[in-house]
Amino acid sequence: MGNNQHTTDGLIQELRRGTLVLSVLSQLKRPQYGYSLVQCLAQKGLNIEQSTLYPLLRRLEKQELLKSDWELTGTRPRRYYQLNENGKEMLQELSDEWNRLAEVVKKLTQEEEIK
Amino acid sequence: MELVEKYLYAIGKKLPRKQKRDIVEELRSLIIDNLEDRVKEGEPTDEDISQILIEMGSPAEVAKKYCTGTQWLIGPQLYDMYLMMCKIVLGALLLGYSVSIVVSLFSSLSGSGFGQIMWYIAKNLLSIIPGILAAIGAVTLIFAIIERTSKKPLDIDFAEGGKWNPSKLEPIPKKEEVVKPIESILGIVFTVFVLVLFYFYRDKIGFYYMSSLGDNWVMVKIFSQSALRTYLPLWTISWVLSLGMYIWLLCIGKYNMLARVFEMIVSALNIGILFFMANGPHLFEFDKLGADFIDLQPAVDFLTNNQSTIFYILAVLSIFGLLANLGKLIVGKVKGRI
Repeated sequence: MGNNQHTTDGLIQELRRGTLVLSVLSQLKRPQYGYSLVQCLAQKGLNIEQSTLYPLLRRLEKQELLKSDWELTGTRPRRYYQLNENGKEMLQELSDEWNRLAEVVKKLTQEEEIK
Repeated sequence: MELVEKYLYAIGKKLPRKQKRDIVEELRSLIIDNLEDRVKEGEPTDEDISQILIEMGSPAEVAKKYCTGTQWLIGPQLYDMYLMMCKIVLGALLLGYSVSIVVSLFSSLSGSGFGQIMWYIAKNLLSIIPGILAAIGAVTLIFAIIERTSKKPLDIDFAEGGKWNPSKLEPIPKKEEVVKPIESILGIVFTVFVLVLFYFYRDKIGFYYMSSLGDNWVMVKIFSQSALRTYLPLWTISWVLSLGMYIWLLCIGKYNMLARVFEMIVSALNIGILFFMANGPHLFEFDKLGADFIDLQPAVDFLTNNQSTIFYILAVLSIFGLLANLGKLIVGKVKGRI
């Protein structure tokens, strides 16, 4: 039975959405500006829309997980984001939770295959 | 690059004022990053820029993602109730206005041509717009205030030290306690209608008939205007209290103890008003009936001459009604305890 493509897309997007914050935080141990982060994530296999990422960076800054500064690189200023202390702790906690969850889900889905 | 500026302007318009400049600056630098990355040589063409802007997302979409937090006047928890109240108020107003137009058609406009009547209806339709706006505005204001003043969900407060307590769930109402929304809505519509009628069209209340010559409508007034002026403030108190009760019943959806007690207070007030009307100035004061209805004259005279007695009888009947309700309430309470 073919799944409705629309439903599939929606569910996959929902699944990815939950991992975004963790993915973004993981790449901000060193300072990055928006576009460099998009490319960095894309290179590693995570395609994220720019219109999603940039507001997300603002939100994470507002939640006091990131610090940001305008810095002059090359000929013009760019806004650089980086984890602060809170952010580092959060990254650790989220990574732990992710690993635990990944193991559980793996078990659950494999169990389904055996049956 | 003009396209980029237009794009940023469109986003900026939709951003919160405080962060606008900073976000726009950042977006500009990010768009340039995109351009530099893709157009290695020469000036970027409009097509290059368009492509990038399309990927960035429409201005509305981008702005929306930057605006987080509650940005509503009336939130999702109140929204359904708000819509319902708007519809009810609108319905009541339209009903009141339609009746008033129909009444005017029969009274002041009788014998006018089709064009005149159409003109009258059009004029009145225009004149109801401020009323509708005021009513919807008032409802919106009330809900906006509720939204801003109530921190917790409106329905039930379960909270106890941050945890919800299942033992605080309210009992499912018994069949006889349930108040169907339609009952409350009809009550609200009717009360608003009566209020509009007596406040704005008092002088048009009466009995209408086509004269035997068949060329115009005749109105027979039934109320004494001076008596109406005496009683109207009292009636208004009773109507407004009833209106409040209907709105409240609509919100909570069942008769509880408080609603029953409140209802009894309103009936007690009504009984008081009836006694007052029995002793006060005569309410009914009919114009002379025309030749066509001469047969009805005795009945009208009887009503006019005996109105005090009639109000007394109504008052006494209402007392019985009130006592019956009180009895039911007490019996119900006692049974509930057993």
